Amino acid sequence: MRFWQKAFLLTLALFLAAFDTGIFLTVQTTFRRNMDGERERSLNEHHFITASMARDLYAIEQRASENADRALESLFSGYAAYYREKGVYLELRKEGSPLYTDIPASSEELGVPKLQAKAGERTTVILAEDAGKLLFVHGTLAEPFGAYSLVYAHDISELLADQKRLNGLLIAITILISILLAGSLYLLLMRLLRPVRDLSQAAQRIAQGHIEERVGVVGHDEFAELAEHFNKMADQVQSHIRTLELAAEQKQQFVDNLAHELRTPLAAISGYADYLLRAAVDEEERYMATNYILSESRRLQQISLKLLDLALLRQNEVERVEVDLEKLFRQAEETLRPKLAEKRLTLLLTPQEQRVTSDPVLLESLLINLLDNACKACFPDGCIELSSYVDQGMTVLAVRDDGCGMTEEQLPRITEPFYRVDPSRSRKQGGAGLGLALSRQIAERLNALLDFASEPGAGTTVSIRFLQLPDKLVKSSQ
Amino acid sequence: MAKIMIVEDEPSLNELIRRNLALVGHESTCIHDGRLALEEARREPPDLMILDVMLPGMSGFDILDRLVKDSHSRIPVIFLTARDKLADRIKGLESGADDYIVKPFETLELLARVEAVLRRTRKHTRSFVLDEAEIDMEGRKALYRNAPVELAPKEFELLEVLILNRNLALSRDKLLELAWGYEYEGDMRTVDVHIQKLRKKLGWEDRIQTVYKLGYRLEAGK
Repeated sequence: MRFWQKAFLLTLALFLAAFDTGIFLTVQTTFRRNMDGERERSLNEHHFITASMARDLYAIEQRASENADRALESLFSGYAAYYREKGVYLELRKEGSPLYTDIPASSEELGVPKLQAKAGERTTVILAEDAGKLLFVHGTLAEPFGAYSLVYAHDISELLADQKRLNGLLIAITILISILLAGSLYLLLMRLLRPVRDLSQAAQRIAQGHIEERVGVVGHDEFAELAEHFNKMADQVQSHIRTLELAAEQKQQFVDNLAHELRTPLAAISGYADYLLRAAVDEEERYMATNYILSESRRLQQISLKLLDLALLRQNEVERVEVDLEKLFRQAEETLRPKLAEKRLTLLLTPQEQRVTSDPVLLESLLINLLDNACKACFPDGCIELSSYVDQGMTVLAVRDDGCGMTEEQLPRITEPFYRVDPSRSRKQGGAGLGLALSRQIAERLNALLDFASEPGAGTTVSIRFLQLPDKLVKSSQ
Repeated sequence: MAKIMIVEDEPSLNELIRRNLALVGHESTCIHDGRLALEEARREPPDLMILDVMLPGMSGFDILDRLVKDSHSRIPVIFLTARDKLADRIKGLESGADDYIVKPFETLELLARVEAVLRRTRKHTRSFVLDEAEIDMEGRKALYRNAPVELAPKEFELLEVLILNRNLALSRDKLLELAWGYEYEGDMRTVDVHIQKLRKKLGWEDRIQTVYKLGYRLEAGK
């Protein structure tokens, strides 16, 4: 059973029970009060009639005429005629047996004889009868006429009929209200539950793969809150999926590029080996072919080493110690001395900032990578500057060269694996096309940003900006 | 002999192709840059271009596009590329290339494809003269000391394979595959017997060399 159906039925049932009970109780109370009022009035009237009748009897007795019986009869019929107009029937009894009666049906049949009256007491009883309903009051007359008693029967069928009509009306009203209530309750529930339906539909759409689906948030109730949370959740999921897709795409791109990078040296190696095997080669040709095989093998080795570096970088823990930058700069200079000498390059070291908290091994390899690139970019007799300073609270290491530089279109792509600004020159210099991809990875591991600024012909500046880290991660290197 | 332009930015590969083509008697120009290749091809159209796709200056696809637009001189083109995706192959062939070779490639395969394209596109008479033998490949006839030589069909097939791959050693397997076809189930001795007959009929006892552990090579001088 659906929630709205449960809510609908339960609310309707509860309301109807409460409403009907209230109505029933009200009707009952009103009826009882009406009956009580009727009884009270009947008693009063009975009292009034008996008193009046007693006075009349006394007058008859005083006259002491022989026609006392006739006088009594005419007295009674006078009363009876007067009250019949008002829907009241009388019966006079003496010593419990009827003397005169005006009650339409026989009083025995109506069970009136059962009405026993003691002196000064009055009893009332309501008797049902097909022709109508009568309220009886039975009581003795005042002394000395205690032997006489008067039965007073008031026709209350009108009252009962009113009551019945009222009941019918109430039932009709109840049914009408139930229908109205059911209708408005249904509409209300549908309206209240619309956010839940929307949410359910959105969830279903998302489950079907339409991850961009969102729920409209209206108002500030619990459903709006739920919808808001739902949307936030969907945003999160979507952004995660996007990240994963992007990563998968990059990985695919990397694999494609790698396959391409491996093919060229492989083609050369297998081609020259084949040439040596099939052709009748002289000494010069043998030298040339084996030389090509060796240099292309070295290229493959370069690529595999860099790939290994990339893989290891992802696995190894990064150390966080205080690094002496001047010492680090000198080490890097030492490593690059042969390359610097080859092109007669000048390397300026300007460590304004002396210390940085980082991993010394990774940082050195990052610096050497960047310096190596600077060497390749420089023209003979060029100049490279390696500096450190503090900018906006961040420690910055910068490698600046006055080499060939890069265009604006090239800059954003240079950290892509296997991207080469000048493919043929890079290969001649033994590059694997992975240097800056590796640099970017290292910078990421060191929690640093790699910034490139370059102008064609004017040189390139690469800055490593160290993002701030909590002090508790710092421990001394000594 | 055909004039072939090799456009490949990788010097080692460019040189390798030039040397292999030289062995079988083609003359090649080596070009490493896209723009230069287009200029050269317009200035002096070669009989065939072997064109790398990823080139500095201008891509192989672009070069072919320009050449097709020139239209007055239709130069046969074989693409040579490391891109082996089906989409790339289709793009290459649709752009009007005659063939598409993926790196790394087999030397013999490259030569066979070059020969196939040349045979389709060139109207020259293909004949081959070595010492006192003269072979007319079009007419499937051979002369030795100006006298016709009787050659069995398979002998002529073998002779053609040897000539097209001259100066390159071919294994008995390869010779069987190329001259007899894949489905032939003869043994290696068949090749030896046919080689013996060719040596004798054409006076090539010293020209068709037995290569240690490999097979035979027709040495025709470079």
